Amino acid sequence: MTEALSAEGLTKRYGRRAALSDCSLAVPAGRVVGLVGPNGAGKSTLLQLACGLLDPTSGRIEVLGERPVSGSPRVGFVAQDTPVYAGLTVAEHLRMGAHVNPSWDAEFAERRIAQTGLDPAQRAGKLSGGQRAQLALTVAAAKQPDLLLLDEPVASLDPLARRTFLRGLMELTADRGTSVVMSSHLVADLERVCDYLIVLVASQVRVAGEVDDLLAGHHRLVGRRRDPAGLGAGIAVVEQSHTEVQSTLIVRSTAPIDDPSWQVDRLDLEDIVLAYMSESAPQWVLEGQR
Amino acid sequence: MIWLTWRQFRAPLLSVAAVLLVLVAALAFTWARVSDLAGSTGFTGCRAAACETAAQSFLAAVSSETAGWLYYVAIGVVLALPVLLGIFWGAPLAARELETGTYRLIFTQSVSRRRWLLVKLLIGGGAAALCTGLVSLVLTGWAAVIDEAEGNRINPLIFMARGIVPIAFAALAFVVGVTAGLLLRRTVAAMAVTLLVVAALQVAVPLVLPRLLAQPVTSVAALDLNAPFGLSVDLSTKEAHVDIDADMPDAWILSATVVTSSGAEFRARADPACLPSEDMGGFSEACRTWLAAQNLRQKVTYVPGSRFWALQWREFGVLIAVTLGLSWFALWWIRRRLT
Amino acid sequence: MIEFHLDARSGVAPYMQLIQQVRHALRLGVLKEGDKLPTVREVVARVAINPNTVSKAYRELEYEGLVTARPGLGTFVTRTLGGDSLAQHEPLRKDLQRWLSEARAAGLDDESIEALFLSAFRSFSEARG
Repeated sequence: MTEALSAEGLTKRYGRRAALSDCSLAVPAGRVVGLVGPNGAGKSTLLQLACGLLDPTSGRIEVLGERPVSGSPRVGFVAQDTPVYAGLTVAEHLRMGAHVNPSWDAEFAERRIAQTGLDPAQRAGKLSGGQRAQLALTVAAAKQPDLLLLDEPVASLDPLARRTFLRGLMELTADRGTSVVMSSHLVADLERVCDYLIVLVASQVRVAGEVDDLLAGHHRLVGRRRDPAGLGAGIAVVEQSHTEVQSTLIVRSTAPIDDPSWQVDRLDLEDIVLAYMSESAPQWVLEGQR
Repeated sequence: MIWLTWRQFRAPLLSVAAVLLVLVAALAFTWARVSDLAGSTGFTGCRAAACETAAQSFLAAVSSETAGWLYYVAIGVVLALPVLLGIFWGAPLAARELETGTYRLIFTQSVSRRRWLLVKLLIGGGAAALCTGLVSLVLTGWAAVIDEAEGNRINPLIFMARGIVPIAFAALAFVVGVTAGLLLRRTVAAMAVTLLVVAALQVAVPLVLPRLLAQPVTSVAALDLNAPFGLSVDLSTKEAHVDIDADMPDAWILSATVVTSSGAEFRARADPACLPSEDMGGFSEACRTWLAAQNLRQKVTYVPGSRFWALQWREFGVLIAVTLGLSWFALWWIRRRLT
Repeated sequence: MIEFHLDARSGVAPYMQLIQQVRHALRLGVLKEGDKLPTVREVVARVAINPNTVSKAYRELEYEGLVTARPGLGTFVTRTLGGDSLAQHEPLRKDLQRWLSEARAAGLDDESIEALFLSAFRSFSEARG
C-alpha cells in the first residue's frame, strides 16, 4: 500500500520564521487520519504543503507517491475557515467545480447539497459557518480525489453543525474509500471519526498510530510514590507527576500491567493527546511512534 | 475556467461597458452635426489660404455646441480609462483572492495556478483593450475633422487619446494592476500602487516615447522677417538672440531655432540700432536691415502629421511588448514565488 | 434493528463500544437470531463514526461467531448470548437486592457498596484466571 502522505526533513520558512522544521512522518492510505497538536505546531503548514499551495523550503514531501502540485485532480483540500466565493450562489459553486475539474461528479454534488439542506439559489456569502463548511466539503469531494485534506474544518462550527459535517464526511469515506487527513483541536470528534492519529508538537511527531491501539496501549497508573524507572521492559512513561506519597503515571505499554500495587485506569484519547502535548513528556518516548 | 472568469468578471465588465456605450452613442448622435458644421463653415473642401479662417470659424462653431464639451469628455475618458481599468479590474483580480483566502479554494481544484492566471489575463486584458479600443477608435473617427482643423493630432497629449495607443495602454494598465495585486496581496494597497504607477506612465510615456520613436524631420529655411518674431538682447553682454514661433500646421514641433549660415545657433553682439530704445515702438528699420544682413535661417525639428499611424503602431508595439513582459513575470511569479 | 451510540469519555475504543453494545443487546434479548445489524453506511450516517471502525467491530463479532455477513444482504445475528441463563437472571437479581439491603442495613453508603462489590468481583475474577 502506498502512503497517502510522507515527509522527510520537511521545512518551511517565512523569512527567518520557521513554520515547520525538519518534520518527518508517514500517513497510511485508506485511513481517516487525525492530525492534532498545539497551535503553531505546523499542522496547517503541513497540509498546505501537501496540497501544493506552499512549496517546501527544504526536505521532501510526497502525496500519493508524487510531489504535490496545486491543481492536482487527486487531492482535495478544505482550507481553514472554509473559504467560498461570497458572490456566487451554491449552485454556481457546483457549476464552477464542474468547469474546473475533469473528474467532477455532478450527480453526487447535487445529491449532497440536497441532503445537507442547502438552498442552491442562496449566495455563499449568506451561508452560516456550518453550511459553508458543507459546501466546501462538497466541492472538494465531488472532484473525487484519492486524498482529502481538511484543515480544521469544524473549528468554527456549533456542535450540531459539527456532527452533521462529520456524518457527511464519514458517509463519503464509507462510499468511496477516500483517504482523509484532518487536523482538529477537537479530539473527542477525532476519536469517533479517525482510525489513525498523529500528534504533532513543534513540527515533530510525538506519537502516531491506530486509534484503537493508542487507546488499548495507554494507561494511567496511580499508586504510592516510587521511581518509575523500575516499571520493567515494554512500559514507557509518557507523563509523570508525584506528590510526597503518591505517583501518577501515564504510560504506554504493549503488555497488560499486572503489578497489583498500581491502580490501573483507562484513558480516553484526549487524555493521551494531552499527555503527549504536555511539556513534561520526556524525549525518549519519541521512538514510541510506529 | 472561462465560465468562472466570466461569472466573476461580468458585473464590472457590464457596468463599464454600459457607461462607454452611452458615450459612444452620444458621439454617434453628434457625428452628423460635426460634419454639417464643417460643411457650413466652409472648412470641408477649403483651399489653401482660406482654410485657416474656415478652420477657426469651424472650431468656434463646434465649441459652442454639445459636440464642444463632448470632445473634451471623450478625450478625458480615453485618457482616464486605462488607469480606472487597472485600478478596478486589474488590482483586485488576484489581490482579492489572496486577501479573502478563496485562492485556497480555486488553486486546489484541478486547474493549475498558471492556467488560472493566463485565462484571467487574457479575458480581463482583452476586455480592457476592447472597451478602450472601441471608445478610442470611435473618437478618432468622430474627431477626425476637428483634429484636421486644429492640426494637432500628432501632438503627444492628443496622440495618447487617438487610434490604437490607448488599447495597448489599457492592456498594460490592467496587467500592472494584476501584478501589483499578486505582489502586494492586498486589494487597497494594490489599487493605490496601480494608480501611482499607471499615472506616472501616463505622464512619462508621452514625454519620452514619441521622442524615441518618432524619427523627427529637420527643415532649414530662410528666416522670414515679416512673420512675427522676438528679439532678445542681453543687456550686460549685448548679445542678441532671435526667437521664432514655427507656424507649421499638423505637425508636432520638437524645436525651432534660428541659425546662421554655418548652422550654429545665432548669437551675436547686437547692432546698437537693435538695443531697446525708450519709445519701445518695435524694431527700428536699421535693426531690421542689420538682421537681414545676418543671413539667418530658421531650423525646425518636427514630426509631420503624416507620420501619425506609423508612430501609433510603433508606440502600440512598445507598450504591448512591455505588457507581455509583465504578464510573463506575473505568470512566473504565481507559479514559483507565490508559494 | 438496534441503534449504536458512542461514549466519548469512556476510554473504551469505539469499535469495542460497538461490540459491547451488540453483546449487551444479545444478552438482554433485544437482538435475536436472524436479526439484521445496521449496515456500515447506516451506522456511519447516524453516529458519525469511522466506517473502518464499524467494519472492524463487525469482523470481531463475526470472529466470535455471534454474527455472519451475507454479501449483498447485510450482517445477521447467528446466535444469542445468555440464552438459557436469561431465565436465571430474575432469581439472581433478587439475591443481589437482598444482599444490597443487608449492606445498607450494616451502614455502608453507596460508594462503599460499589467499592466492596468491585474489589470482591476483581479478586473473584483473578482467582478464576
